[in-house]
Amino acid sequence: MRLAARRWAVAWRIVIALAALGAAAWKSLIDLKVFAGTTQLGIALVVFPASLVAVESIRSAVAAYRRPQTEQDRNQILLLLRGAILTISDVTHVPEREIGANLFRIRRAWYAPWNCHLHRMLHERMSFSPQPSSVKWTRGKGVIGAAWENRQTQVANLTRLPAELAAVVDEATFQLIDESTRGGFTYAEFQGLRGKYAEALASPVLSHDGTRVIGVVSFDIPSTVRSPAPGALLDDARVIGAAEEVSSFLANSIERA
Amino acid sequence: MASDTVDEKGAGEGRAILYRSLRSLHPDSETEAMIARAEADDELSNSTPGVGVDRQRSGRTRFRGN
Repeated sequence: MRLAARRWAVAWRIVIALAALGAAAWKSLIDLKVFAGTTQLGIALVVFPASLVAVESIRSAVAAYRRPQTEQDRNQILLLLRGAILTISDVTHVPEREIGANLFRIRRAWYAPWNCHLHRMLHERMSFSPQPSSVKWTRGKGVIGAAWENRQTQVANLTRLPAELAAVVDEATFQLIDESTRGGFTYAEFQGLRGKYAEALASPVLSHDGTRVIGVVSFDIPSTVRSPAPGALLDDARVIGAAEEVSSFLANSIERA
Repeated sequence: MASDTVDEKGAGEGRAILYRSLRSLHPDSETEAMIARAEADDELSNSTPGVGVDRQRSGRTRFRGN
């Protein structure tokens, strides 16, 4: 769980606890005739906090019940991503520690179900650098979003940017470039990714019936890696075959998440 | 079609390296079962076109864009 989500979860629990305490105190004061109150108010002061506590307890119990499966799924995802990293390293001769791997699943915002984006389930790279980007991947954005949109594996050589992008010096020049060349990125996202990776590969994860894209698995090689063929290592049938096999193995883990 | 054949051969090699990597990382019965299922699917779809195709792999492409 991300830090912001964890903070909200803790804040929510504190609010529920304080609401229950406040309601119990208020009810007691009504019973002691310190405050005036109707029977309906008394009932509401018992039922409302009790409902909140019941919902939260049930949610916690379900989470506790699912935790072993979640751990097992996480280990399975990690195994598959590491297996793919070893395979890519074997084929490309790039050290394992340099290769990055990510698994994303498509998530809808509860307040706007039509608003889908890719939520990063797991990131794996032995080296601590580079850190994962903070890009909010959406359909069609960059190589990862393109894999989602086209339902096909995408390989991108990022060492050779289109001339317009290579010439970007500030936000004004970036905004002048047409949307398709910008790849859906904001200026801040573009700056965050610029020069970071030499190449990337993204493969869609399909639902079991093959009708829907439910996630994307991606691999990258940072631009700091020295290679005789910079930008062309991942465009290899063996790498693509392994990545697509991993994406097919990962469908179960995503569907259970 | 030649490029298809070459790519499929390469993809098969990639899958074989992947299976080897997975076995080296976690040599247990679940890993073996997962690999055996994938190999059986491959075998079936190769020997009987259109039958036994793992639909999860229907999104595979032999050609890439960027």
